Amino acid sequence: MKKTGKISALLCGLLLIGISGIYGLPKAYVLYQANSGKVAIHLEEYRMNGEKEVPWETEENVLPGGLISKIPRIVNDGADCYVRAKIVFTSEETSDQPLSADNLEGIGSEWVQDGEYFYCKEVVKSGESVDFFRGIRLPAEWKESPEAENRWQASVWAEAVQAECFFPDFSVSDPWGMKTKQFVIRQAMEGEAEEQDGDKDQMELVIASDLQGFTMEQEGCMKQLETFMPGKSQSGKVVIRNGADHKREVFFRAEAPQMTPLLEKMELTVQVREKDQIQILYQGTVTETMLKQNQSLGEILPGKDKQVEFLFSLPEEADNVYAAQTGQVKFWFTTGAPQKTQIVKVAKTGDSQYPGHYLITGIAGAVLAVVVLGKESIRKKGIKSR
Amino acid sequence: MKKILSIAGIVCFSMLVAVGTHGIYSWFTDQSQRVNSFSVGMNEVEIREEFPDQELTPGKIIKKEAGFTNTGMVPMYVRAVYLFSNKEAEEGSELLMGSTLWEKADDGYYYYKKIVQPQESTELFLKGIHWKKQKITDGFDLTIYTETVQAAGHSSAKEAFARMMERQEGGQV
Repeated sequence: MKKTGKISALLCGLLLIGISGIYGLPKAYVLYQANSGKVAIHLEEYRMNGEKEVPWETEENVLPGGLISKIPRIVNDGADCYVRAKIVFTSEETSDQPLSADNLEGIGSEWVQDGEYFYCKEVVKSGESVDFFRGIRLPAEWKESPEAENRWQASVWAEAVQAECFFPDFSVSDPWGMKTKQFVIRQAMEGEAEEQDGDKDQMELVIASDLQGFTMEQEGCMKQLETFMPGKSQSGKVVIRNGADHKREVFFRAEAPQMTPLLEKMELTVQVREKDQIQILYQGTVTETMLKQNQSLGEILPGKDKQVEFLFSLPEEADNVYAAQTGQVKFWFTTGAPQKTQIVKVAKTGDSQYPGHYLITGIAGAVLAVVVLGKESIRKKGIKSR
Repeated sequence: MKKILSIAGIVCFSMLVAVGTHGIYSWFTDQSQRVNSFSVGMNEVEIREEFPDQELTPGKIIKKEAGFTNTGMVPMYVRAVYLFSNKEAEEGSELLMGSTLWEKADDGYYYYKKIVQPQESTELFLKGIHWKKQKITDGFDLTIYTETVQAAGHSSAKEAFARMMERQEGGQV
């Protein structure tokens, strides 16, 4: 019976040491991965050659009254955007009958003119394009005019602004609110931006019953936020549940492993919610020193929980400098004072997340078994010889 | 008290969101520009005519050659029509066409089937007049009227002129 008891104890020890996928960890983290998008467009030009559309090239001379086939196409290489466009004509010789936007033909119904600009009322989706016009009709009156021998330049300008969090009003003058909001259109900076989907599921931390920290499979996890555009806010949530049979205090701190311009511009609010009660822990920009020291989230009663909510915002005043960037913010949780991570294993049946532990456990178990059984055998031999 | 704190918290959280909707605006933007140059062409046509013997002889064919040269800068389509100044002359004569490339259409015009390149000439529109009647009228005028249109963007002379007429009727002269 004793022997059985020892072997049972040994097996239990082995379970505690290795055959486990759930750990009691003194601290845990959630890492929020943020990135910003980019507005990027380029212009392509085509013309009709019979029924076929071909890349634009300097067309043979067109007569007064004739149509210069010219199709400026605005291609969206970045995030969904609104576009506006204008054309400016200049000539080598002064003209009494200069060309203007009135000479454009084939402007689609999705465009609305306001001053010198034509605004596309529809969002140009990422990867899609929109044609500005289809041709330039030369004045027939030029037949009798020396202007017919003039040389002209047509400059097409296309401008884009993000569609997300931007709300133009095409029923009024100045549809983009350029005058009232006083923002300027600037060329996008170099750099590629990748669209990123957000992780919708929340993270849950369960306070370990008899251990400091949490019961969980791994020390932390990464949560991806949707691609940010100026004006966009996103939230995340960590639920901390007290699985112990007595109340426990929880602490929290944050760190930005590497500061980037995006993070420096980003605003963060951290608040803790318990039932209907909300306490704001932090409000401000993301900095290296924010929430550096552990802060108490208060005590959580057994079986109850608290929610820590994060609100990340990229302000509307963020311009192209903050486009196509990434940044990470890590939030740490602990149930005790900050200390060096100590992994204490707790038993759990089921699949292990760490197959290598089986090997270590097996070897250790075998060694232990040999030692224990060997000592037992010597002890018995000793008794017999007496 | 808890409720008051709770409401205050919600208000604070909402205010932060609201802060982002006022003040300075920038957003992500981009711009692009393309500049092209073009010049305006000249479409000019010159009538070539050879009418050496202007005296009509009953029953005889006399030489009356007329054709056109593109003296402009662009390839063009041509159409032409002849008009007699009086009906007696029209009924008494037969005009001899210079080439099968001239095709008469329902609108009365003769359309030249080929594109005429700059400095090129059409084949003859007319080559002679056959006076069929015994009696010669005192005199009449034979007017040759021609029109040209830029060939670019059109597949035939009839289509090019039809488009031109459409534009004129639509006020897009």
